[in-house]
Order: sequence, then C-alpha cells, then structure tokens
Amino acid sequence: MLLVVRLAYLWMLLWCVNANGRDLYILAVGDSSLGNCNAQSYGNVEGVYQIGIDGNVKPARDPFDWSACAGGSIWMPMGRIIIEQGIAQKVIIMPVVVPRAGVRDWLPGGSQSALLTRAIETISKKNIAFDFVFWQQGLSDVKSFDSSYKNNLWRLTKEIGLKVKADRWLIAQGSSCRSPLRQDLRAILSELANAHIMSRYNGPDLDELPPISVDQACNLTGIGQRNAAALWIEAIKKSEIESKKFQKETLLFYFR
Amino acid sequence: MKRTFQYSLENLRGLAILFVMFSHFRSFHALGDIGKYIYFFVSEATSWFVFLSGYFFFHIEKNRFQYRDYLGKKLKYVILPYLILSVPAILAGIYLGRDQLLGISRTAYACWSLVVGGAMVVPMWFVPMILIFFLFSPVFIRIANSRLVYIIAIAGIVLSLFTFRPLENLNPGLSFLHFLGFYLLGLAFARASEITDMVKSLRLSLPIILSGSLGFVLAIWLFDDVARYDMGFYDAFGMFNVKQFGKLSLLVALFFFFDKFLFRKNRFLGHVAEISFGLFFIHGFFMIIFLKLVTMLGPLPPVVSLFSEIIVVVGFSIIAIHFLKFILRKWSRYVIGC
Repeated sequence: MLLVVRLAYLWMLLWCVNANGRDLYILAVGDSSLGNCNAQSYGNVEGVYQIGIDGNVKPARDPFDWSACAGGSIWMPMGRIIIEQGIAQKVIIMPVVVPRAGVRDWLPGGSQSALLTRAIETISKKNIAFDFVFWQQGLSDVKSFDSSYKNNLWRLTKEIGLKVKADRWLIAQGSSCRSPLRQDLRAILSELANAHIMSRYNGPDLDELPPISVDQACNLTGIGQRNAAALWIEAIKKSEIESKKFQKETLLFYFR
Repeated sequence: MKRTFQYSLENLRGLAILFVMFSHFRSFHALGDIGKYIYFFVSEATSWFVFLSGYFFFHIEKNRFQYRDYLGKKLKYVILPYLILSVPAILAGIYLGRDQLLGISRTAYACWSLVVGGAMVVPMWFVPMILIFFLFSPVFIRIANSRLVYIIAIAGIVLSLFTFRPLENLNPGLSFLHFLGFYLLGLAFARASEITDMVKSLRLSLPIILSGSLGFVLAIWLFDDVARYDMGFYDAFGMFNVKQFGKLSLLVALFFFFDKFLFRKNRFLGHVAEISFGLFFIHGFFMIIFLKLVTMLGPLPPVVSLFSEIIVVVGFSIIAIHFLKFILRKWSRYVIGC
C-alpha cells in the first residue's frame, strides 16, 4: 500500500514537471560543491548548455566558465537526468561559484563582489531570465558565524533577486561536508527557504548525502556528485508543487 | 443592552487591538521558550475582533438594518481608508521590488495587493476579509434573527477550530471561512443577551470565567506543533487549531470577566478601542519601520528589542493616529477609519 502511495506521489511529481517541458535556465551561486572542485569531470551532454563569460549560450562541459576550480561538478549529471526525465528539452546552467566564499564575500566590498557584479551585468546585457536560482552556502560561514549573518544573507539574496529575473529560488540546507551544519545557521537558511512570498523554496538538504559522497577535503566524490544532482532535481520537483500550491492559496496564480 | 455592558465590550475591544499589535512583534521570537508562550498568549486576537464585529453588527443593526445604508457606511469608513492607505503600501511594495521578486507586473502586483490586502503591510489582510462579512450582512441578519443561530454558531466554531489561516493571510475568502465561527458566535452572544443576564443573576459568571481560563491553560498544555500554523488552510484542514481553542476559551472567560469586573469606563482601554480601527491600519506601517531600523542597527538584545518594538509599533502608532486626527479633523474617518 505504502509503495503504491509513493509511486503515485512520484508519478504526480513527474507529471507536474513534465507538463512544463521547456528550456530550463539555472543560475547557481554559492560555495564549492556547486562549482568545479569535485572529483569527476564530464564531457558534453546533448541538451546541456552553459552561459559563457561573454553571456552567450554554448555547450557545457566541465569546468564551467563562471565557476572556480578545474574539476568536476554536479551539473553534467544533473543536466543528463533532467533531459532523460523529460523535465526540460534543454538545460542552460550558469554556476557563479567560488570555494570557501562566505556571504560577506559576495556583498559589495567583499572579495567576490566584482565577480558577482560582472555576472549580473552579463545576465542583464543578454536579458536572461532564469527558472531557478540555486543557493548553497553555509560551510564557509560556520567559523565566522555571527549575528550579522542573517541580515547579510537576506540582503545579498534580495539584491541578486532584484537584479536577476528568476522564477524561483531554491535554498539548500547543509554543508555537504562531514559534520552537520550548525543549528542556528540551519534555522536561518530554513527561514529564507520558507519565504515563499519572495519566491524562495527549500532546496535539498545536503547533510542527507551518505558519507561516501564527500572526500577528505569536503569536495564531492563522483558518487556524491550524482547523489547531489539527484537531490537538487527532487527539490526542483517538490518546489514546483509547493509553488503552485502557494500561488493558488494566495491567489497570486490568477495574477500572473 | 445596558450602557455598562457596552463599556465591558469596549474594554474588550481595546484589549483585542493591543493583543493584535503584540502578536505582530518579532521580538517575542528571540526570547526563546518564554517568547513562544507569550506569543501564544497574544496571537489570534483577531478572532476577538471578528467576534466583536458580529456582536456589534447585530446589536446596532437588529432593528434598523438597511443593506444599502449599511454598505454605504462601510464603504465610507472602512473601504475608503483601505483604498487610501493601500496607495503608500503598494508604492512601498513596488519600491522594494516585491513585484519583481514575485515575477509579476506592477499592475498585477497592485491589483493582487488590493484583492488580498496584506501583501506589503501585513495587517491589512483583514479588510478584504471583513468586506466579505459586510457583503453577506443580509444573510447574517437573517441567521441572527432565527432560533437556529445557536446551532449555526456552534457549527461555525467547529469550522474555526478545525481550520487554519490561509498562507500568509493572503486569501480573503479562506480567511472568511476560518473566522466565520467567531462572527457567528458574536451574533449568537448579542442575540442571547437575556441568557448572559441570566448567567449573571445565577452567579454563574465566576464558574464560567474559571472554566474559560482552564480551557486556555489546557490549550497552552496542548500547544506544541508550531509548524502546523504555517501549513495554510488546505494542508491543515481538519487538524485541531489549538491556538483558536485557546483564544475561544479566553474570549468566553474575558467576556464574563469584563462584564463582572470591568463594566465601567476604563480610560486607557476605552481610548485604545476608540482608535482601534486606525491602529489596525497604521501599526503595520510601523512594523515595517521597526524592521528596517533593526536591519540598519543590527540585532538588539531581546529585551531591548521588545521594549523598542513596543515604543515604535504601539507608541508611535497611537501618536500617529492623534497627529492624523488633528490634521485631518472630521475627514480622519475617511482616511484612517477613526
């Protein structure tokens, strides 16, 4: 009985997303596990593209133009699954990612502020509208965590949200490293992810990844990349349902 | 109805608006477990407001109800202030990029904000909901005049106790359904003034006050699942709403408590009640100002934050109302509803 219910639920998830077969634009901002610091590199996959440094769409392969490091990423396995499952016909990804970057680093005056500004200018120039913005960050702020973290996080995500057209944000939980994320930081990320009124939704909880997913340096192993990709896809599907529910209950649906 | 009895309800209305304002305080959430219970104590006082709306509706209109006149009054003193105060609220929403964050056009944002009310200034969700009560007033007057009012009120209360507010309070129709029981209860209490007099003469007030208080204590004891209150109307439909049960118990206790011990004019509560509708509108703007201040200044110690919030949200709202009444004179009712 439980199996039937679960299968029906999965079918419903798939149906909701399949109903929107389309080009899927994803912007990712955050720290290393979203970037190219991970174990396994992938070549081209048909239907998976990236936004290059000049803002043009081109076939994707590891490493991605806007991402630091030269290793592998979650994007190629994720793109492949998205295409295979018919969620979209084409996936266009732009990961603006720097390892160990904290929230302060992305804010004006921070060490990664110039990179973010350049990325946003490129997006604006090409008038790109994203379906999703993925935010996954936290580990880098664990050590320097203080009471300003929450304000900085909200300020940063709001500033990006005002400059970049995006249908929905997915806020990931967890550090994707060996120890779970500290509770106060987790609570702040959770509060942000529940701000549906600002189109924020829950991303994956990367603390759920099995230990085999992460290496000694806290980067994703090959298995970890595929597992993390699967968790993000599940979060996309769940957010589709959550978003529709929120929009209908708050009547926003009828004003779009 | 006796004049003294009106005082007790006036005082209850004053307390209700204070609770409504307190329930919007963010500082409680930083106080840990104590804050959670204080929040439980003050939250959902909107139900009392809706109860009093039902009570006063029948009490005032029972012998003179004319739908057109009634709606005309409500349009002038409730809807017009709502439309006027919606202008700065919508402009603020657009200035802060809410339309962009929601991915809708500015026109769509303005229209949606007007329909749902609380898109930017949270407490304004109340007006589109109460408008539905106004529109259904002929039905309510018929219900109140019928003997079935008590049964219908009980059914309504069951609905209120097994439903929750819609997500972010942004659906007036669902809010109407959720609060309907309290409005019907207000009608029933107004209709049953002889019964409440009988309760007094039989010296049953104290046992009822005690039972209501015990009900509230039971609600505190039962209150555990905070997440349920964010689930929205549809997802939480059928679950027991402990907060509303607590507010219902406390309402019954306070109704008789105020009648027994606060049946005289209370200058503070009476004054707050007199400007309650204006406070309902205005305090939402000061909530936003306080939030901006805290964002600018950085987090304050919880107790300092709480006292600052009392000063900014409650104190400045009262001052602002007096200032606006002084400036607008007889026109103030059209702008701030009082």
